[in-house]
Amino acid sequence: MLRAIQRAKARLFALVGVSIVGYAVAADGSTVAWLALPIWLASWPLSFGAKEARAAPRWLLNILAMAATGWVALSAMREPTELVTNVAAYLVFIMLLKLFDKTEPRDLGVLYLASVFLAIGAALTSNALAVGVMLALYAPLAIWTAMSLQLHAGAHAAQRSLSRIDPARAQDAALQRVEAALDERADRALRLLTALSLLGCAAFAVAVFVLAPRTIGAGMLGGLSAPAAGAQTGFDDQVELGEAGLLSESAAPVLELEVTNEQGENLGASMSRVLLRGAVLDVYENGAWRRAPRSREAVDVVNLAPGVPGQLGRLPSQASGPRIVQRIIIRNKTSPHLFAMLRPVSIESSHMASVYLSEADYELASRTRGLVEYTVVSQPQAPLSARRGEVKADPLFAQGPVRKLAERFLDEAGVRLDASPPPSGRQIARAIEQRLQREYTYTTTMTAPRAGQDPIEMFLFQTRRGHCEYFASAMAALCRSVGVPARVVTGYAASEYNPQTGRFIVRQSNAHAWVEALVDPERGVWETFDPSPPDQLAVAHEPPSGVLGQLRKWLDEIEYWWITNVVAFRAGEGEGSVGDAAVARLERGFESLDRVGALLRSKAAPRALAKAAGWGVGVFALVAAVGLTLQRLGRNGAERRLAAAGSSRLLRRGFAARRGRGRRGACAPTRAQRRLARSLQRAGWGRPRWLPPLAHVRTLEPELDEELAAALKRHCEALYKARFSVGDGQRAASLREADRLAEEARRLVLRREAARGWRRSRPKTAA
Amino acid sequence: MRRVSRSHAIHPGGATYLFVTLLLGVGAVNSQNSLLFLIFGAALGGVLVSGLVSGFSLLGVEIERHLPSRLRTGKVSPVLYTLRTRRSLFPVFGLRVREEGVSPRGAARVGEAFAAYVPRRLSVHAQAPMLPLKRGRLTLERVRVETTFPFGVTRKAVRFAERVEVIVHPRPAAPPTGWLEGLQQGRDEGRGGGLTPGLGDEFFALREAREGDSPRSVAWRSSAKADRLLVREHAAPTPRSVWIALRFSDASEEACERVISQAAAMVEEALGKGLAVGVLCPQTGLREGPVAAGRRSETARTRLLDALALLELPEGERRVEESAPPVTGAVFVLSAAQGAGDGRSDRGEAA
Repeated sequence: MLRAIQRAKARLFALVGVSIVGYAVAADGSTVAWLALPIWLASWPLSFGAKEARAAPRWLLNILAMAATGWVALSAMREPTELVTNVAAYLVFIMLLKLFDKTEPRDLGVLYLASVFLAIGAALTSNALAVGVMLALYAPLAIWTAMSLQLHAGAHAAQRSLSRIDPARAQDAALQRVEAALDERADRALRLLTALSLLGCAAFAVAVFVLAPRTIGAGMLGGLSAPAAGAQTGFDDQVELGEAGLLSESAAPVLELEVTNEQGENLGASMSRVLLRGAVLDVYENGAWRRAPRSREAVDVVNLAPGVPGQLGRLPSQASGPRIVQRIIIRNKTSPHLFAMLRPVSIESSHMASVYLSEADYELASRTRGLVEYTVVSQPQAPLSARRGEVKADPLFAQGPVRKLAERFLDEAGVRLDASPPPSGRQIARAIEQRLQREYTYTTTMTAPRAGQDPIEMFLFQTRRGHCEYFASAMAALCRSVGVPARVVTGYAASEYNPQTGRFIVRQSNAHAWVEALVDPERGVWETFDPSPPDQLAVAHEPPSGVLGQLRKWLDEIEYWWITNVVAFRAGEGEGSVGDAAVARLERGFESLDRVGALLRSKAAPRALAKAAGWGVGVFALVAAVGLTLQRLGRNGAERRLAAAGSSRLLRRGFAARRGRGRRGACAPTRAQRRLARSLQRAGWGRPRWLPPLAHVRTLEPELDEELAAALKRHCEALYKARFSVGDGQRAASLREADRLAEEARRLVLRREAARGWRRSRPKTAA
Repeated sequence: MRRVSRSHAIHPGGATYLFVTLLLGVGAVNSQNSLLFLIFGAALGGVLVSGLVSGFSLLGVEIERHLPSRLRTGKVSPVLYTLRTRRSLFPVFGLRVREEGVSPRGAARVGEAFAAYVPRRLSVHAQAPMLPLKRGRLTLERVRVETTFPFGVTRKAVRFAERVEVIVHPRPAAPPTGWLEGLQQGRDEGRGGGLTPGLGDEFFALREAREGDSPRSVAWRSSAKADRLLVREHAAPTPRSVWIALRFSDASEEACERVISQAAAMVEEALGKGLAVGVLCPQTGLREGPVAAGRRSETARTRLLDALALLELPEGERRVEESAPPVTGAVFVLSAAQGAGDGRSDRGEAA
């Protein structure tokens, strides 16, 4: 197979690979995509990259294509919301089949198009940094491949026309001609053109990205093209106990949290852990905690406007205590829940139009999906709700072993239920929390209960090991059994504080469950208790330290930058017409001009101008120095390339030497040749530009002594030999020989000059 | 060649590209997905870059067409194009060159030439195959240079005009078997010697010796008899004349063309054997030759084949038998008879 075509196919093959990997990354480990990778790799030696065309049988490909179509159609019917995922899986199948199909230009075009669609699917699936990086890799490769494929298609069209007219003599003749045309120089030019095209596309992309008005037309097609809800958050709004297996420990970031006081001072360093409430679960049935359905009246809708905080419920007059401000950025919000510390007082966001507030437990929710940024102010010591006794002693646990265990725990802790006055809810909850923390073991390995066995009882009486959901469930059950209203809360425990950025980073593995107990029924105060053993929990979720930890922090920082500056760019911007935005931008431009004018009119203008000029000169000098250095490095590189590749301009190098003369990229003379040229120039024997070196030596022969003339001739012959040598090795050897002879000739010139003791006047030559 | 017009059209691949771009735009606006906005912008940039690159590529392209002076029916010949970029900022990639305005219609099939790479300010050659299908005069009017490079979004084209006429010779068909046998035999026997002195093998006359004559040419016995130095002079090798006469009696056009093809083959064979050949068609008034091959065999061949190429078949008058003009030499009559698959040949001598 011809090299040019093979190169085009290799680029397409790489493009397909990048798109599959990109999608696999976007879909967070899509099984289909990862399984496709080995098949993709195998297709190169087996079919796609094979020197002789080795397409799989057509009937087999047709059957597989039909099977893939059927499978995807079934998946689409089963999960109609996962449109992007299903289409992407179909594209992966089709690409794999095409890799084993014919490699006519039309087939390659289909493969290219499928790959582009898959890349778009990746962007639709996720906006993570990894996807952005994959797309950044994909774009230049796609441009380069498109150009190569265009050449490939043109060559094939010419070949087809030749075959139609002269089938006997076709024999890849047109392709051979293309092969001859697409030499190393053409490939270089193609790469340059790719780079320029990429710059053009990138500039346009950035312009559209920056200038395109946001929010206009958002959601006009519903959720058809919204990113698929493929992101995993680790968080769940219900707790199902009793499943065996291993708890996921994904380190994928979910949200960033910045905690300050009302004065704006960062409190992150002083807080070891922040519990961000998500879902509040108050009904236990069949081994699972769920949320009791709320009536519409029990849910407040808080409308938000940019810059105006929305009040979350009415705060009782007796509420006191410090307030904590939390600025939260959820990277990809896929559930309705919003996260905040207990007790949220107000919320502000430009991303959300409204927030739903459950009056009973202050659970927050919003329909907004994707990247969401908001600021919540919480007052931890404020009562959660004025309503009391909504959660009564659970009849499930009021009798039986759980109640007995709770009584024993309390008895051993010195908290007597029959004491007068009776112990407070806080005392009871604290005693149970401490007992669980002390005597039970935290583990991420889960064991399934026996048939008919309650998972909480299994945890309390049998295994005595479990993860946070078991601890929370057990404590809620124990509290309820003795009449203290308690509920399970799921959310995140933020503990990974980055002092450089002043933010907590919350990962999927930070998903956590704890308990809220009604400690003051009179005032309706719910207090947070976390029965999971803190030390064991910290060890289990300890972030990596050392170099790895530092690297992860940097990566998190880059991701944060990506999320806030690219993914969330102008997100939540107020709706306005395109014209308004343009006028606003123009106004800003005029304001800038006004500022410049005012500066010029002021007394400080000369100084400012001098400073600016100084900066300008400095920057220019720096850029020039860097440019010259790069040019010099490039020239040396060009010399080496020339020595290897040869050039028709080689002969012009003999005695030619003024640097920078001629077009860029023309072969530069070597150092030895430049020195010889200078010596000859000084001696008055500079070569006119129009005269070939050997002819020049012949014209000088009458005035040169024999030895010098012979040396110069030998040097010229070596140059000619290099020019007409076949093979890089011979050419390089001849060039080395020419350099050696140049040095020899130069020595003779210098000796002769020294003997003469005078210099000839320098004639005007172009050297 | 003179540039006459420019055009551009959406390529089928380009239509797909634009459709995808539109979808991306709608998707980006609907979902407010920032990455989609970026991809949409890049796709729009691709349209712009594609237009600029292909437009600038064609802006500085110049082309020359080189054709063989004579073509032959049924024989593929290359049409060579020299493509040059004079003003282009960038090197040019992926130029497709094709002929437009080939007349008469259906007289030839011309393929497509492809120049994968034309370096900046340099020239390259590209060649397209051409298969003439009919003898006669073939006219090429225009050349279209087009490109879909770099992304196949648009097909931009430039037309260059240069009218070129070439003569297409008839395709040689197998001549009647043994048609030259008698002539060759007669020639070998020495009949029909030349009439002028020359460098042939045959004796022409004796003459008195002059300065510079080779001693080898001296006729010693005759010189002795005549008592003066005589030298032998040889005759110039004058070939025998062969006339190929075409007769189109009420036959199909196909049969007539076959006869012309046979005549072409006979012309080539006769010239190859050193005979002077003439072509005759009393019905059309054609009388070309006789010409001998000699040193300029190609010229003689071209002259006779040109005559056959440009021979127009008599319309509706093929029954009219014209009397043959007086010629000297052997005359072979090729006639296309009605319903006959092959032309029939008769041989005779005329003086």
